[in-house]
Amino acid sequence: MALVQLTEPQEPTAQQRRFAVGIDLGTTNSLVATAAAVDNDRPEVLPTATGARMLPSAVYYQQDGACIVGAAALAKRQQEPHQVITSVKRLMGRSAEDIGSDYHYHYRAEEGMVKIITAAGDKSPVQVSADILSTLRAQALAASGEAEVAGAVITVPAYFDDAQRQATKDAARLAGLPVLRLLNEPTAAAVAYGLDNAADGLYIVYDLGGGTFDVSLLRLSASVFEVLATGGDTALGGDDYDRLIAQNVAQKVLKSLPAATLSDADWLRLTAAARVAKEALTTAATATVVAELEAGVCECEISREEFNAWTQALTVRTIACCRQVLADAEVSATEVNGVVLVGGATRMVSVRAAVADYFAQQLYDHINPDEVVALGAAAQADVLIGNHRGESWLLLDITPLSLGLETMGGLVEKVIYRNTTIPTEKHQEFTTHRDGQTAMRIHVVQGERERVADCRSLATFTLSDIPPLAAGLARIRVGFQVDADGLLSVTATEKTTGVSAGIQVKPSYGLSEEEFANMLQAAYTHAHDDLQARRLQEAVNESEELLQILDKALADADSAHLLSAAERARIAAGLARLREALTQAQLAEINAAKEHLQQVSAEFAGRRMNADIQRAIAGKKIDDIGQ
Amino acid sequence: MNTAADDYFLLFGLERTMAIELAELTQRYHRLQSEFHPDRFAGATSLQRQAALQHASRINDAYATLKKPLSRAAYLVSLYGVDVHTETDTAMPVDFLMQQLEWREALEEADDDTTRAALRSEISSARDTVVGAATAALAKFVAAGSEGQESQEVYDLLRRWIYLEKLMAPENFSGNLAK
Repeated sequence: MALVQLTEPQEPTAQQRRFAVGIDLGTTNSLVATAAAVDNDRPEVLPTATGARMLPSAVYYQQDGACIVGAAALAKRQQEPHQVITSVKRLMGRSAEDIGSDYHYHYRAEEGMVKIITAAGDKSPVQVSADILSTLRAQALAASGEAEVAGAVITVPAYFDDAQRQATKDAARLAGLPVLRLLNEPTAAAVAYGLDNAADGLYIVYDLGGGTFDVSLLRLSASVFEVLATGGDTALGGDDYDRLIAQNVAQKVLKSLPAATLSDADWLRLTAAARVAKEALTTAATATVVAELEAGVCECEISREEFNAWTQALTVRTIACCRQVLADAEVSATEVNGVVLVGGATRMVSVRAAVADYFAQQLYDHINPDEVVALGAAAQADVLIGNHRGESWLLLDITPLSLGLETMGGLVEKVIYRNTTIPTEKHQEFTTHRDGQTAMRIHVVQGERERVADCRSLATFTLSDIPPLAAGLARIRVGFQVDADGLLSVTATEKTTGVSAGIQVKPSYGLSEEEFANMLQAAYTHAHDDLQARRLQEAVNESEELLQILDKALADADSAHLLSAAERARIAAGLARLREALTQAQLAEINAAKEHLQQVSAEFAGRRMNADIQRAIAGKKIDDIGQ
Repeated sequence: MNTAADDYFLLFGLERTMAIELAELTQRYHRLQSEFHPDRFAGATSLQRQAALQHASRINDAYATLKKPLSRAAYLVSLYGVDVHTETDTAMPVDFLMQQLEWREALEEADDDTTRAALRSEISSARDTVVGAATAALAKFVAAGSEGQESQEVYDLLRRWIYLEKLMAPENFSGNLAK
């Protein structure tokens, strides 16, 4: 709805700075940072109550429904390994089938997103993540002395698909955090480095976290961060190195014992010990894995050479991703000006050597690789909330995976290709196959393969209210919009009648609106708030905003010629209906009237948008003459 | 009537021409996005954010279209109602198709980098010739407006360009073509 004229860049209006945070919601650890609490715009990490800079992404649920998050939750792990949820990020937007058997806690294999079985009942990964986010918010408020978080930028792996992004955003909504933006982790890191070192050129961000690997190629030019290509693996991270050490040590030392006899708790202890050894190997040539298992103490010295041999295949996979990213952008390794290292796992000597060898470029690592993403997110949050003084920067990100539609024979027709700069919108026209057909189904998938079965199902959209016409006559224009967060939305209009078709969305791995509403209700019940009242208030606010903007647009002399008398009358009727609905204070009617008004004014909005761009260009031309 | 939102050349304040400097285009693109990107409206009303989303999407699409010469050319002729991406039209001159076939076979049989590099430069120079001819024809075509006689010539040249560009795809030279 482009009724609003966007001629003025947004000015910071608030006299005092608003408290905005950047959150790195990590697989292993999470961080929160802000640039709003300090005077010089420099972001800084907000520590936990005990002074730790990282909050372990671990959640322990008690029977009474209360939960413990962080180091205290991890401490419960030895006694109750199944009750402490870690690495929940790997479960976001994923089904039980996707996950495989690597996970130590119990989950319920249902259709759609997996549910984790806990002492407090079944939990969706979205709820678990929401509990981590709530803890981070409390931590940020306590550390800063602020009363409320005005907005948050939450980072996600660049390679996250739509379901994983949506799940992350849902978690933030559930935690009551206003999301300014989902920001890709490598882009956040680039922002943090860009502030420090503003040399223009091509940069690779190599981000190996606890559970995910991402690589992005960016062009930095005059305060514009432009992502050219991205790649990665959402199921490859430092945790996998730990697991391989544990497995190899188990084989080496426990030859007498079949590995299967190790209990879940044993594996946890062994993996934790493997992690300690892995970290020791970053500075020493050898390290010892020491773990107290049920059958006795396991002690095993490992060398860097052994470690490298065991884990080389993982590192090779990351370099293959880098090669693909360069090929996608049609850039050779020698054209890259520098490589930014992100994620604690990039401290591994073998990883650094492989990256240095492949790119033969300077490695940037002077910002703590565990913190750089949160710091970049905090800087971006500060800009988005309008605090930032002085020159700001622009982030142009891309979508990591192609979006396509299921066609005849289970094949995929791509609509939006990967590495397309977002936001983006593409249209596709459909028609009916039967006389009088009033509904159709569109199955949207994400991925690069040609067969639907090999791609990831995102959602099924059912279009209804198609006017009953002879087969092939109805022309339904479907718009696929990917916003700056990388999230998909779909709109549909029947072209001959100009009526919006109704759309019902059934996400394949996400939460349905109903499920989400139930979770939100549960969260509110807990907080003794009235969800219904809140929804009504939101609808009233949005309606009033729409009325105000339309009134202003209609009164604007410049746009008088944009409307015919009939169009003007339709909009006036729509305005009257919404005003009437507001006096009745009925949620359903307010929403219906609001949607109707948006529909009848959509064309007007489009024309205003054209006029708007025209004006902006006219301004540019004057600039050009001046130069 | 063409408005800035319908005409990508107008959107960037450029003439309808193939002669576009990438650096200049990119600079104008960045300037427009600095003004309209949704990040500039994070604290604005939901309607303003929606408007910014639409503007920015349009600007991104415009930049992606004009950035590469082939998509720029295809877009340019589409403004005059010529669609060169019709997949149903496979009618090409026989000699052109024979040449294509020969190159494809040679690429499949090439088993060393030297042979592939030689083929690449041969195809690339054929492509450059077509691009040169297409660019010249396009200039005449645009000057004549939609009334001109050049539309068939432009169409044929762009179709050849599309074929040759496909043949130039990096995977065809990687040395592991599926037979």
